[in-house]
Amino acid sequence: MLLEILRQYRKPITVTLVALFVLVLGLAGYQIYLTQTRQGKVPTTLQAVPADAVIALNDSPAIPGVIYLKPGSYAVAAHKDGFIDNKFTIKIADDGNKQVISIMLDPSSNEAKQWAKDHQDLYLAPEKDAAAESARQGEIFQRANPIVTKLPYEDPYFTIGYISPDNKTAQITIAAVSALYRHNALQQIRTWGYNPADFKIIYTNYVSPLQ
Amino acid sequence: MNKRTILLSIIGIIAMISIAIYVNYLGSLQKVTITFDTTANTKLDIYAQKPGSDSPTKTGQILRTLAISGDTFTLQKGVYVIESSGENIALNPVALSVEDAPVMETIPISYTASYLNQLLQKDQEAIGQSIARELPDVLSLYGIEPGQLYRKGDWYTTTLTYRGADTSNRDSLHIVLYRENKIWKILTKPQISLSTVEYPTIPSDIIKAANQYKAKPSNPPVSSPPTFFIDPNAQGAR
Repeated sequence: MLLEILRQYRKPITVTLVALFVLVLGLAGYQIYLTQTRQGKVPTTLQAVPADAVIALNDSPAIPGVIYLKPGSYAVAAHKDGFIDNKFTIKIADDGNKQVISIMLDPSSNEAKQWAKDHQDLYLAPEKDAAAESARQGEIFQRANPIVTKLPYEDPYFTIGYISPDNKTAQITIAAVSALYRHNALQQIRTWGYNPADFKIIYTNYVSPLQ
Repeated sequence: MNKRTILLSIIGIIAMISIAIYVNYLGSLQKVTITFDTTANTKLDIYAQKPGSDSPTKTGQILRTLAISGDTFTLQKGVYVIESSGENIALNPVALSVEDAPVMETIPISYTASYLNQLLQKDQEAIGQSIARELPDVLSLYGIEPGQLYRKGDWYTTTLTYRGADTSNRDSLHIVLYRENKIWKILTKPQISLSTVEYPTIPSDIIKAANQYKAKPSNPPVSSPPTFFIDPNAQGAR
């Protein structure tokens, strides 16, 4: 019975299967192409005000949007008639942070000045983005190091704080005047549900008798 | 709609449901490779983890017993408890979480506390000599607590208890030693609290145990001269 149906609809089934095969093959090929061309590169947001400025990265033309760049230094140049050319160098790093190249062109002609006046929101947007990015980084840091939400903690006899030399991991600081209070500070960390062994702890005013 | 179409549709739906169930079952399995120290005739028993329990707590029958290290087998995704058994081997329940990625886990094998205490009595002198050799200045200011052995007697932690006259830096310090080729070596600096971040090669459970062992600082100045739980003048000491 099944064979009979297959025979009856052989042509549409074959066409559908071939179309599906070609589609899957095409998608796989495109995915491989994207993977190959983006390998070792960092997604970078390129934004410019005005958006139609002519932009060059290391003398190669670039269009605002998300572009993929190898980590390293880039000479950025932007030009638009009526605006002052902007040239600077920027470093793209593969450090897990969002990479942004933000280009602002100051107006020089009267027409451009009027345009800039009418589009102040575009000039302020990167600052807002930077503030939002900073807040996002803060949230990521807190999620990775939840103990920092408890800090700084000040007791009459000790203070627990933190530093982050790499902006990713928190190192705990304990300031206390005696061994007993340093011990109590460690107990406080345990009370919060954390194990002091999971952190690098710096005792800010402890002098080891062994030194 | 004729009978044939209805029948075909039902067969199709049943076939699809069967395939979905089979694919779901295959997707719920994961490869697991467990390695462990097989000396002392150690065996590992795998149990299901008791639901709702934070610590490794077994429930039900043994699901699988491992006598050979490095074997690969499949388990359904979930949380399990592995218990050790063997000559002088502690049960030491360990949680095993099987999720989306293949699991490769080394299960630490530990002797029982009483057997480790027996071993410690034999090794105490050699440990004291190693500390005296590697940290000669410690002995004039700190007493060395008896300490504890871990695993198969090759890890040791102790606390150095301050005995000097300083009133503000009387912190107890912790150290971890490891026995390699029958020689005890200190792996950490003496510190108020040892960190798994600073010593990633030392098992975290040993660092955590070291920090908890007699951690409270000693009472302020003593009138008597420094005392030692381990004799620093024993043979081999400086």
